[in-house]
Amino acid sequence: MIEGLYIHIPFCHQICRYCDFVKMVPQKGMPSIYVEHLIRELESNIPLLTNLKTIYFGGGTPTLLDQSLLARLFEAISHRLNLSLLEEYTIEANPNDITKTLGAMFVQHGINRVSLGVQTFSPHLLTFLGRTHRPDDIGRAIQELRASGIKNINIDLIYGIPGQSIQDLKMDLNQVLGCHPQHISAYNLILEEKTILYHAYQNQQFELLDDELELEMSDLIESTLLEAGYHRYEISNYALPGYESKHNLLVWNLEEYLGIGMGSHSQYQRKRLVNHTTFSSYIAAIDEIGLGFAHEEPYEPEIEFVMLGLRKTAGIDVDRFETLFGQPIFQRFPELKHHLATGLLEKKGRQLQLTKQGLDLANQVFVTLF
Amino acid sequence: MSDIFEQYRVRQRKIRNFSIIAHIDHGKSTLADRILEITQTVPMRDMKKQLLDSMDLERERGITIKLNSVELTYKAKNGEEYLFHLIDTPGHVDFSYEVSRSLAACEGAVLVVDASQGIEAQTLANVYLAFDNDLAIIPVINKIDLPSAMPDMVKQEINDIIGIDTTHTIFASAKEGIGIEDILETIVTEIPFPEGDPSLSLQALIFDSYYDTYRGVIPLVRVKNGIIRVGDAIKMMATGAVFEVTEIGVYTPKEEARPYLAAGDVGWLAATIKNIEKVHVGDTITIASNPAKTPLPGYRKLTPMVYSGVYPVDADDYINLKESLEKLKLSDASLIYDPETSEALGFGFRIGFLGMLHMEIFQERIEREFNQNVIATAPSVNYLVLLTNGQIIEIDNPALMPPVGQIKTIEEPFVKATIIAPNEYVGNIMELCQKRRGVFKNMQYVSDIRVEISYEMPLSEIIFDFFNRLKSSTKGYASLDYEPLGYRPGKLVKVDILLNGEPVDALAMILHQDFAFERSTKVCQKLKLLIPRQLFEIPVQAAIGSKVIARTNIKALRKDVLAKCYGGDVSRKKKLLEKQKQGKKRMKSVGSVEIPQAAFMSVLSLDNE
Repeated sequence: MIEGLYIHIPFCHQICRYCDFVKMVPQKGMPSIYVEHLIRELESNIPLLTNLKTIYFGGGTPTLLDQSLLARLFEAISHRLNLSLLEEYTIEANPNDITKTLGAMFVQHGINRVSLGVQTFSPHLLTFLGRTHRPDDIGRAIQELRASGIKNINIDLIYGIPGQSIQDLKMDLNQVLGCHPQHISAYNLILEEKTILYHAYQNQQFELLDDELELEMSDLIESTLLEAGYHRYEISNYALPGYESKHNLLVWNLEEYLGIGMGSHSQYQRKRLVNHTTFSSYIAAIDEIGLGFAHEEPYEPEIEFVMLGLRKTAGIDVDRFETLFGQPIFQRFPELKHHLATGLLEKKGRQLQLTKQGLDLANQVFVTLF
Repeated sequence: MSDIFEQYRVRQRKIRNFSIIAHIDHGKSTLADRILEITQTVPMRDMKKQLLDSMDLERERGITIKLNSVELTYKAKNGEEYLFHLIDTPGHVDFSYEVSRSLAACEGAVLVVDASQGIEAQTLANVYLAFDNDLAIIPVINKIDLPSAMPDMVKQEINDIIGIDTTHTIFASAKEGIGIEDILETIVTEIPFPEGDPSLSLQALIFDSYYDTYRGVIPLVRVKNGIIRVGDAIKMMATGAVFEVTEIGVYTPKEEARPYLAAGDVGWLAATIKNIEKVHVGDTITIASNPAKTPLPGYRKLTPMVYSGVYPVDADDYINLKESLEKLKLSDASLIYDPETSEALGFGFRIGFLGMLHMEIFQERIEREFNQNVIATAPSVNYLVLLTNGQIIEIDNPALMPPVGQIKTIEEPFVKATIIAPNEYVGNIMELCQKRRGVFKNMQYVSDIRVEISYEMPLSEIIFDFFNRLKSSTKGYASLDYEPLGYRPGKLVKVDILLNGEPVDALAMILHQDFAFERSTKVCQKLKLLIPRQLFEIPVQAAIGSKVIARTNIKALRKDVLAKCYGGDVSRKKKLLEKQKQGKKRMKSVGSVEIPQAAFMSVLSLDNE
């Protein structure tokens, strides 16, 4: 049963140097064409979407769409879908796009969670990442969202940025805590292939941080946030109790979700499906069959159950693995047992989970699944 | 009275057998193409660039490894038709014995020298081989169309160093088709027709062989005396093996069947020869029922110069590797191997090679053509070890060197290395050779600006990346040739490499005492770079006996995690992890340490010397 709906808005004012998502700087007229096609794709999928618990607008930058286009989208959703079971309705936003009226419109259409792409409060690091907002925008955006009635706010942070010091990170953490968000995602910067940053790195324009320093940073984040009352429920995610991202937990729990829009991914009926990743091919596909589906990718539930489930600090229920797949987990993946010995994994009752050290070395465990 | 052999003798006088001698890149393949084109041996549309080099690997490296021989017809300006046999030779020091046998199949050689580069050490070595075989030499200065060409200076160089008459030197550009006809005419006039008597007992020289899946080993031969026909029972004079000839032919360069090959001819024969060990390059083929009294001169058994242990990455592939070696051996008779075991690497083979290039080619072929995922240990030379009990043993695997207490002396192979380079690099070359324990022997100017330097050096120093070093310290201008000088005693010690406290036999080295500390330190540093960080800290040590002479640590891996994995990331992250897994699979677990393939060769290229 599909419980989550993801809607991808691929447009950005400017491309961030580290971003490897499907994104583009739109030409005039593109956003409205895109929104009409999104709505058609949504309509084609209505029969699958009767039990939605979460909706998530991601990007790109959803708030790049002007208010009337956003309103059209929100209305299409609330008019056509049964939202009686909906618990979490998130939109990603750029801090400098937030205004009082935008916040009010979010609330008016049932949106109850806003995820802000803050990344860092240091101006020089924002420049390095290619972000367009300024540190001042962030506090103001949060104030206005709160004033509009948004009670659940996430702040995205990036750490391990070339040039970042422990001092820089401490400042970021102080600022974040001062904003009192309900949820914080703190990502160690990854150099993804096909990003501007990766290219710059290949051309030796900067050096990566020493991994000892990155480790120190991740420890600092954990201890600071824990002290402030947040708990770490996933490798990179922290929340106040009860504010864990329901939408993302669907993914980590290997539950079904549907994605619409350019390059979005779906996982349902034992399949992983991917939509067209270019504007023209996506538009053409919707015009033709009303669906954006481009190709299928392998669905390997046993591997994915473990690989995604172990990202959560609660880990996975080994009995549930056996119920789902008819085989004890250590029989299916004998090397997991080895990592109980190396100290990267531990077992607490029925739960198999990464240890503190394991959270930093999760890939060493995950590769054994393949 | 006309004798029945007269028709063969008439034909014999029209035959010209020749090779092209050239340094890599001096244009041998292009010239061969051009000759084939002009004699219209190959229709233009069938011309594949550089036709003679048939293996992909050869084309990529620009080196001819496998020999080939082509028959072509040339109508000379005097109106007569001539039968040319162009016999190809490998252009690398590892294969000098094969070169000498190919040259023994010829009466002449076209010496191609690049008009801007001049004579290189390799060319010189091959010209000397041509002298040994009494060949007529036709000097050709190639690439005269290039702006940097200095044909007159190069001509003087040929005159001065080689000491041959250069009045008939041909200025050519194979690329532009300049001078090709002159070359062909000179071949007719300057290269003598083959001597030899068709009425005598058969003596045919094997100068190459290859393996055909359907017909077995196909020897390429030059008939010196007598006639060989389909149906003859032939005998290999060195190995004593007897076969019946089922097919005879030539290459044009397509394979073409012929009823016979007579004195002076060059061609191939098939005789259902299953075992390549019976067909030795340099051996003489004769008729079993009427054998020649003596074999042709010059035959010798090939002895490997360097040895390396080759192991399957996955122990289950041992049998596959064994079968692949057997198959590879069919097309590379010089490959010599014996099973060996290593504590670190399990079951594998010790393989002997003619030189470093031969070893590299082997590694590429075994991986590419036979899909074998292998680990090769750093190459070693063969050491003669005199034990305190008076016994002498040969050691081609450093791990097997007996404990110091049992050794009286160790002897290692020496070579005479000849280097030709522009004189401005003499200082660099001498410095490099001195560092490599070289003993200076001679230096002479081959022209106003180029010198030939010779050193006596341990072969082990040459195989440790010497050629690359030489190239980089002379901006690529130096050329190198070497020949064996026999064994000499040296102050040699076995150095063990320990990972996590455990000696890894496959990493053991034999070093000269005076260099042991410095090189061991570099090897440890190199291993630190090559071995990926693992979950625990790994001490890397080098030790002579129980005395540690160098050490470093590979820090424990502290962070290896994908920061995010949401709905759109799952497939991609799976692919990344699969890739990481593949990388792990290519590593060898030794004790608890995972070692990548490259680490075993790490001693070969130590930077910042």
